[in-house]
Amino acid sequence: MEAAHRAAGDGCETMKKMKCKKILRIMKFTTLIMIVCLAQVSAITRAQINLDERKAPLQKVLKAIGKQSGYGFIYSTDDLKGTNLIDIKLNNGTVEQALKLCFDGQPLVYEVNDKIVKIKRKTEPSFLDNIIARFKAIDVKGRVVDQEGKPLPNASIQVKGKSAVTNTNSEGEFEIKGVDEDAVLVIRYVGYKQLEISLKDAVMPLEIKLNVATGELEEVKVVYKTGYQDLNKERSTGSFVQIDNGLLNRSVSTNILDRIYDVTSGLNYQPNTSIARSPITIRGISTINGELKPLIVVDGFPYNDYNLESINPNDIESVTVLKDAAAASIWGSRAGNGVIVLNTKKGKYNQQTKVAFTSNITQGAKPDLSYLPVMTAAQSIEVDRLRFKTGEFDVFDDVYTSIDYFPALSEVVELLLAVRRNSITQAEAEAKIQELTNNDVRNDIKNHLIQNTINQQYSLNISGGGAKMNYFGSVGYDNNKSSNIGDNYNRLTLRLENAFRPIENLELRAFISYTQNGASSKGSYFPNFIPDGRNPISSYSALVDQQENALTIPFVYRSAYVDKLSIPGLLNWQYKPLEELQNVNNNNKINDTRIGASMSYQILSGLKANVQYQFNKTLTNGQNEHGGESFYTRDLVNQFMYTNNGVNIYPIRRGSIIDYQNFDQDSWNIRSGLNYDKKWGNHNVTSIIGFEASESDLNQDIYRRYGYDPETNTFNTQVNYESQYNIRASGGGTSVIPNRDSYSGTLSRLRSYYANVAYTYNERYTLSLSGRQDGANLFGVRSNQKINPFWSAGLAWNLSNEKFYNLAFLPYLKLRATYGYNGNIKSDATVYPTITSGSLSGLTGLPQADLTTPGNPSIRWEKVRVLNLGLDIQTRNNVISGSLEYYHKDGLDLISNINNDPTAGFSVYTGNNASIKGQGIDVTLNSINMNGHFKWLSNLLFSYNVEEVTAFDQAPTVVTLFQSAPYIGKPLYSLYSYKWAGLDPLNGDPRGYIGDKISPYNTVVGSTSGVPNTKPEDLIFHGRLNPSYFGSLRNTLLYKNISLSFNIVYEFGHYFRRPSIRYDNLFSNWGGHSDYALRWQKPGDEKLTNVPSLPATPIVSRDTFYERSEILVEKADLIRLRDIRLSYDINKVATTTSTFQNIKIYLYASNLGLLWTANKKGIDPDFGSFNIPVPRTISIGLNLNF
Amino acid sequence: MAIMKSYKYYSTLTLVIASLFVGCKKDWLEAKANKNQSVPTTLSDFQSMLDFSGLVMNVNSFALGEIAADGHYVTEAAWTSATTSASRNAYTWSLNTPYLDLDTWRDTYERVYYSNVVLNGLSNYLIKNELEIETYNNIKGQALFNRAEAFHMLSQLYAIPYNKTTSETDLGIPIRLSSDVTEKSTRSSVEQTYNQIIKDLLEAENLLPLTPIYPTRGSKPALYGLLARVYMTMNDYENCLKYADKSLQLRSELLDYNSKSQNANFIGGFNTNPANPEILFHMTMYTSEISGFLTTNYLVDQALYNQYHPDDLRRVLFFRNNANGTKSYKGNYFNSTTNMFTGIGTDETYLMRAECYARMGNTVAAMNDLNSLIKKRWRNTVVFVPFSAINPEDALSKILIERRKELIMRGLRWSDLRRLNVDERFKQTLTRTIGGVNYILEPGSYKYTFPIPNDILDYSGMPQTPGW
Repeated sequence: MEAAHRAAGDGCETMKKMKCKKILRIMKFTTLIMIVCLAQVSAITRAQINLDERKAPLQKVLKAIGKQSGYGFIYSTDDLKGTNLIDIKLNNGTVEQALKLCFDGQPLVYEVNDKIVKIKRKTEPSFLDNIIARFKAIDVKGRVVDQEGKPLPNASIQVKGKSAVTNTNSEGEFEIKGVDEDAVLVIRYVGYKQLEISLKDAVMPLEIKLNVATGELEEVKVVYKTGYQDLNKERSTGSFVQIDNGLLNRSVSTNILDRIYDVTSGLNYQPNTSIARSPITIRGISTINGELKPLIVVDGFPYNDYNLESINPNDIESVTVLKDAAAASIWGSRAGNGVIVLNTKKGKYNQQTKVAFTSNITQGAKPDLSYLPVMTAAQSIEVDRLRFKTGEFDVFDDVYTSIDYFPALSEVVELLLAVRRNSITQAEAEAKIQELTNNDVRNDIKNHLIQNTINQQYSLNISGGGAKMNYFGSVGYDNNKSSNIGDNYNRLTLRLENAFRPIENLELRAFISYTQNGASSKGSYFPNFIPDGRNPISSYSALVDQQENALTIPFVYRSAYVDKLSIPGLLNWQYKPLEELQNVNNNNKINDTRIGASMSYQILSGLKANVQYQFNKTLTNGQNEHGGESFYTRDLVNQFMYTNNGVNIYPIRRGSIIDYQNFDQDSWNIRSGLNYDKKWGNHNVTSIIGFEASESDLNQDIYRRYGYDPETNTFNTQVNYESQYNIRASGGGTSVIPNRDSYSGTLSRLRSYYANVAYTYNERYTLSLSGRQDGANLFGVRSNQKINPFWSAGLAWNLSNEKFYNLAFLPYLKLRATYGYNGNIKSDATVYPTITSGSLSGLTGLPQADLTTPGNPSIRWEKVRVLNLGLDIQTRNNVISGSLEYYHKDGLDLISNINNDPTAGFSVYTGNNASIKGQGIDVTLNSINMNGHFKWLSNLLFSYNVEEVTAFDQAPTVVTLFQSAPYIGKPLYSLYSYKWAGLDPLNGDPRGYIGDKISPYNTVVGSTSGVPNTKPEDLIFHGRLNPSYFGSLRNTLLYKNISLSFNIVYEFGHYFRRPSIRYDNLFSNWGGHSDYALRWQKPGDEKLTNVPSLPATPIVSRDTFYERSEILVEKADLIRLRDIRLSYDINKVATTTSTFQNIKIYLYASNLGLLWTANKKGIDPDFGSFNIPVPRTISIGLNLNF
Repeated sequence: MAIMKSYKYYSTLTLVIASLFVGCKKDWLEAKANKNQSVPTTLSDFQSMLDFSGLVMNVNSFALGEIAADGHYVTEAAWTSATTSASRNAYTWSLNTPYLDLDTWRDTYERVYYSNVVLNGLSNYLIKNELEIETYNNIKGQALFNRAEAFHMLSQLYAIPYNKTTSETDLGIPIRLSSDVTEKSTRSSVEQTYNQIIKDLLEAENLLPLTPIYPTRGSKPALYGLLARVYMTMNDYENCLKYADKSLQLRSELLDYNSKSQNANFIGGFNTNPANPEILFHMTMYTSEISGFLTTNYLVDQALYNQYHPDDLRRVLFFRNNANGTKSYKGNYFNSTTNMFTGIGTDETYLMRAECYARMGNTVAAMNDLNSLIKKRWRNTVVFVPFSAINPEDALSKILIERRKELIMRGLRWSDLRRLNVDERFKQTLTRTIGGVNYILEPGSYKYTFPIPNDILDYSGMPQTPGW
């Protein structure tokens, strides 16, 4: 039923198009295009025929038809002799249908002419007939496109009844010579409905539109866009992941990359990059000091990842991820971490105007502060009292100490001190302390510093085209309110792209895009008020009083000093966190403008020349204003203010301090090349060759202005940065006025030559080769001149196309193998010796310059060697499809410090000397579990990735290993710990081992005559910091127009260090981890707990030993419910009266939390204990197409 | 059709132009990537590098040789408590592992590297105008002079003593002339080593000025002094005479020690007021790991001390009497108690010319030069009786004694021991006793060449000096 509807619809559309065609012809356009559909039917006779015959002679049936329809039949009875008997059953059929059934398989032909049917014998074609046929033969030209008008390369075209098959080229075009003008073409394409077209009356060139076979059940994508060319999946050898528009729009985000996490095979996303890792890695890491991020490409040109927020995700049509050497090596020196190619939406030729509108609103919960395990108010007070008792604060009895140094003390300590100097009574103090016991600063944070997030996104685009031009234009607006009060983000994007075909074979394209990003904040960052020991605040601190008035908390200086201060002219020195919100204004604006143009010209059949150019200007203006009333400004003014002969002097003038950060980046890219695509017989060649160059010039101007006066709009232009001033409350320190001015810049230039060729024989065997040579100004003359190419070679075998292949259950089976080299970059390696100048020689007073780095003229690109073996399958009816890939990915010539022969003049220099060996498996499985009215689809991604350092010149030490330094034979980022020997039963001190001997912590971390007691090999190696197994399972349930899908992600095989109490932090910042409650307190506790006792004075090495002990290491394995999406589609069919072609309404919920994790302590390993997991969000969205 | 042709033409043309665009500009990829990275490119950059005097360019010479030479001793306690093996080994002419004397080697080659970076930079430098030529030449001369000085110093420690008959095959030092740190080091022959030193100096001859702004920079008189010194270590007295004479033609002023206070802790350097006029080129020996051996722990042999005549001011200006009766050295040509002067002075050029005259048979000229010097050392309250010699041989031996006395602790004694060993008249055997062990250094011993530190051999694969 549904199919019938669709067929009818297609028919109507076709009729419309044909009318169009006539108009176009009248207007004498040179190119005429005709849309032909299978369901095309000519004049329909309304007579209804009913037949029910079994083994009936033809003559009898014809008579019956004549009777019912009024048609007459002309034939010779001889001709009817020996014809087949007919079985026919027809209810309310047409004459045509009846005739077709009657003559099917008969040795007869018939011709209908005004209700007269002439019948005659089929004749073998005579010699003359063949000659005539030759004259009747025509050349067929055309193009095969999908529903959206995008070309379908390598679609097969067969003349019905002939064995030869022609394929379309990368533009979807084909040409068949000498076809009978009455012939019927059969067009086939995987994932699309087969189409038959009669050439009779067809107008050349044909524009053939294919419909997707059965909606979402079929594999839709087939073309990989590498940024240089479009590759047919059938003929590709490399490892690609294609994310189509549907999948991209499954999730809701401001940033495009957020939409490919957890749906891309081999891509791992780590939200918490506490160690030097990239949040996003493709097939692991194969560098030590080099770039870690994948290369991002937009429409063929690399994009600065820091500027990625300038892309409106709604402008992106699809994403292709290039993973192995064959796929990525065309990107040469920057492909080592994989390449993410973003393809923007385009207009299409001969397409009616289409408008699409998207809007969504996302609401996020407040960060869950109760996730953070901090000490209670009572516990903090307890510690304060204990420390007070030990006499630690006796030095603070005198508020105005002789040393002019007044570090902040916690509120309780101040109260106790006040009692002792009789400022308040014991009872008053106790009452106040009792009040504090009921506080939890997290409540104040929750009520005054954080909020629910609201992200709004709107996008409108319009596209269409005529025969000679097409266009796409879009406008997008985002407005995000972050969970930190005062933080806002908005973005406006505009994009316009046009394509022209002014003459045959020439296409010109031009685009312009503009993005304006604005981020603002009030400078308050709520995690800074969490009493976790890292911030100077107690659990019992309060930010507001009962009446919601902002309160003072001790900050930098002790309250007793600040409160009593009575120096005339000195500004108030108190700190009220909530008032800061009114006094700080941070704004950051990014304006990104891109213009580009390209030209492609078909020189010969199959040979095309291309030139592409893009210019980009990005201006970033940051402005952080510390208002005149902000603590920052008041503090600086007070520190420097002094009195001279009774006159107050302000070296730092009152008024706002504004920090400016202006980045100005100009970059351009140019590329020119030739494409050659040709098919002859069983041979098919796709190739490109070209040249490209790019330059990016970035200048950063950072400066500060003091003493801004909004009344007069002036700054203090006479700041004295030279003089040393005595600094108030610094213990006698002096300082110059902080000077933040700096000017810096980078210039990167890249020049490359590239070539890529793929040859396919007989649709079975494909050989691909690619090569690229890069030069950059990051490297020395020697490296740039040396031919040091990146290359790849690949083979693919479409086994299922072989004649001997007969696995009916597995109609598609392809094997792939590639090998080659990609590159990677480390931008701060020095080719030339660099000097530090500015100082004067102590001997002569002459200006002197120190050679700081020796430079290395031989420095060159890091190399990533990739071997990829792949298998693609598809079972019958696509029930299961997917791929399995095994790879080796080795980082070679990695840039690191190298110990060198001191004879050279430098004992350490930077060069290409380290290496990493990596390997892994990527599995993608898509299955159709149920396929009826109710459909159930699953997509499983599984990845395995491990690596090991194989060469590194710098020997590790215990200290560097705790900072995850490379260690030969171990994963790149590993977790080590001290072996734990329990707590000392005497005093609750942590203990470890020296050899087999239980030893105190200070022996374990200490040294004997300069040699550390613990050596790197004595540490426990737990394993990796990033997962070795990861992936996702996405299930989609479809019923009628409702679709429900949810994505579960998992990570296994890694470890993390769980935080616990650090007493040194507790002593300096009055807060800490709730493990405090579990601490050792009396002998015997060591049997129950591993938390060390509270020491009398902080001992950093004791806390550090405990922090780095094995007892705090946990497995990080987890399973997470990433998101759920529910959507409802309203099609045009359902509401024919509406102007909308399609309406989609959806609900999307994400960050739904852990389903399971290996640790049983309620810690989300992705965030640890001191970072709050990203709150849950829920979005509601609407897409309209009309 | 015409249009199509022209499009074909234009597209091809665009391709060609685009390719040429970058292809033409050869230095397009040479631009500095990090604009704040200071790559030395200007003449003032190069001069500033050569003026990095206090830590690299005018320090770290000859210390090991001075420790190994005679005329002084350290106490057994001081020897034992030395923090590294380098000084202990140098003092006892031994190779007790771990022998990690990287400091001297590394720091001196760092000086070579600075010079190489400057020379390499200069070779790529385009002189902008006439005025720059002189500055350019001056800097180039300084770099060559510095490199030669460093090579010569290294050759006195690590190259086999010069012997004309075997110098082609004797192991010299690695000669590094490139600013590429990745280049592999190889040991040259002794002949090659000295050839390079002389080549650098001769090239610098016409580049250096007569008078430098400060004697931390090379100058013509200093260059001739260094050339004389080099030829002297090669036992080539003809050339030594030639250059010592050239140097003295340009600078011959001497310091009258009568102008110095007897309580002074130093004689005074180029940067003291008044400046020491004898200094042609300033250089000091200092390495952290061996400093104690040459400063606080350095005790002068009583026998040597006794050779100084009571009317010889050096007896009081060079030595400090310690409470326990031992003598320490304080005659530094620089105001420092740790950085001992090893540069070139006119006193040295006088002594070199005197020695050469004596060796050439010119007794009168030899004694004239000697007396010119000694006169300035003699107490002016007494009448100075000029030294006299009955024949050249007598003159030579007197000059050598005065040379040792004048140039004490100047880093030259080790070189003198090396060259004088081949002469039956002056060869001597040195002995030391530490911890009941007697150490002997015989004339012509392989021990006159320091072993190359093991790390260096491991890195470079160069051969160790035979014997070690």
